Amino acid sequence: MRRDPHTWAHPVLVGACVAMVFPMLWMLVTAWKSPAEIYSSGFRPWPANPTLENFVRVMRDVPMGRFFLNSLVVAAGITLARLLTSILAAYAFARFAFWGREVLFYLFVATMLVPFQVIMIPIFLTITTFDWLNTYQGLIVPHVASGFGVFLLRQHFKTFPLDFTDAARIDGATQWQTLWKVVVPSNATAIWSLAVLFFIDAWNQYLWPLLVATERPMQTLPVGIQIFINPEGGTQWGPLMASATLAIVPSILLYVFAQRHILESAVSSGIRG
Amino acid sequence: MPKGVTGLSAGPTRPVLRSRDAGGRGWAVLAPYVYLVPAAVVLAAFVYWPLIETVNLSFYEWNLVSPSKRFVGFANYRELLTSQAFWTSVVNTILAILAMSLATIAAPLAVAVAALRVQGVVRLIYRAVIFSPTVVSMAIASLIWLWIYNPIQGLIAHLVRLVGGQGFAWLTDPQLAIWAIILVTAWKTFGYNFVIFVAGLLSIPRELMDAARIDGAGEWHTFRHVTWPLLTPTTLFVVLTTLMLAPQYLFIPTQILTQGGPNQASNNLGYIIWEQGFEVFRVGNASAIAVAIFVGFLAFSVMHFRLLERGVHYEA
Repeated sequence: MRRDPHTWAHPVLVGACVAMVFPMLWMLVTAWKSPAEIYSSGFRPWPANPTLENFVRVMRDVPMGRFFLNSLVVAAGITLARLLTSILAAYAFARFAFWGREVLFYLFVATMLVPFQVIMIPIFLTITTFDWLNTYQGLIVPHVASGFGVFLLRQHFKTFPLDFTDAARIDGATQWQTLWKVVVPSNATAIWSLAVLFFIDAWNQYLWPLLVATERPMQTLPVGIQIFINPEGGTQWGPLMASATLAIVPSILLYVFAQRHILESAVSSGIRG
Repeated sequence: MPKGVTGLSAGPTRPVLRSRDAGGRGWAVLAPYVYLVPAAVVLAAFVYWPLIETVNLSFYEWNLVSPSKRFVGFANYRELLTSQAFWTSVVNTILAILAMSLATIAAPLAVAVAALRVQGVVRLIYRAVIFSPTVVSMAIASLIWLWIYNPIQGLIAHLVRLVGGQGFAWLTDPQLAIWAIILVTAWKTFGYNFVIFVAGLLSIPRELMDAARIDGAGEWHTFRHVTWPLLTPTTLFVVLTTLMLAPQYLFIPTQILTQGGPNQASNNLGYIIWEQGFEVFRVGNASAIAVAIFVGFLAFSVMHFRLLERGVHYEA
């Protein structure tokens, strides 16, 4: 292939990178500025005297640790439970012949077509009836099954060679053992990718925690840090950006370490983080 | 991911295991259903039942807390026909979809074409950076943009003043507020569409483009007559995903930036159910809107799945 001197490619790509990254940079810059500098009329694209003041105030004024813990418990709980329900159902659809299989499969997959907002009011009423407001189960349980997960894993389980499972079963393994000792390990890559997608999705949830976690000790990161917002005009931008910075760190770390999984599953699944 | 992505059609199925486990015939028949129970219970309780209940609630007038609901028949639906908030929301949502179709199709495609000119590690770095907003939570992103849009100390206000203009209040301007929301949504989805386009472009056999070049076709000609037609499945996928998911993506920036204001000017189908249900406590009205949105977008979703069914597929 001949190498064209495509001079326009790099400027376009650099421009796109800047457009994508500058909001996060502006967040970082603000987090390190002193209040005096943030509210001064002069404009400086970097902090004059970088200070930890905003971070100190965040740690002092709000239970950041608790918000982290809540986000982590909710995201991990949803991810694990969704994986479990998806693996079990996908195995049944992929490897068993049973009455009603096609119809049931359609019913499972069709749940992907129902936007959460359309059904959130009755779900909220259910959670209220259970007295699950401001509890982990209230935050987690409505999200622990995924039509998409069932659908994706069934595809993988179906294409997995039957010889292996047959061999396992001839060796005396039950279906249950075959699932966990042969099918799941052999599809580890797909399951990991799905887990990463589920985790990002759950970690970034906002609408549902906003409804269910009304008390501060149960709030997740994106809901909790809004304590710094004051609609009457007294928003504390420094601490807000410092807490936003802290809240983004886990997502960025996950992205750096699981980038291949994230990019590949994003491309093959059509699901966005 | 294997070909025939959705696998929704019954199609010829592979030979399946007939249950022959210890435990006899009864267990053999029941086993698959037992595997399905956990997911089925959750989906029934938290998708299907609420869907039915939403339809039911749409026939009542209720304020979410009162012990009694008043049956009003189709009154909530009739009200929608003349509701200004609802039609503003429809118009704003269509506006958002159109704007995003341009911003998140033409622009990412151009950048993806540029990315293919670059080889090796450099391309991977560009791709990683451009994709990065996708993994940031939309709520955190919206909080950052709330600060950027701040009419006095915000980044945009500073830049506008630097070039001698007046700072303007994006979020309280009835004309601009919806655009502020659209911009955040476009920023957040750009990188995803970019990655999809890169994958789509990579899946086009090089020989076809090289053949066109050898035949003397120029850069633009090759793109217009070879690349673009072959990219159609990818483009359709991106368009339909935008169409289908735009209303859902609009909720978070709307809730954080404008709450649908000023005076409903930036309300949209992503936010209006929340607003009617949990801000003004008109549950029946909110449910009627939910039903309307569901029916409308079911049509798009079915189109979407039909398309995938035809075997459109992507490899990273």
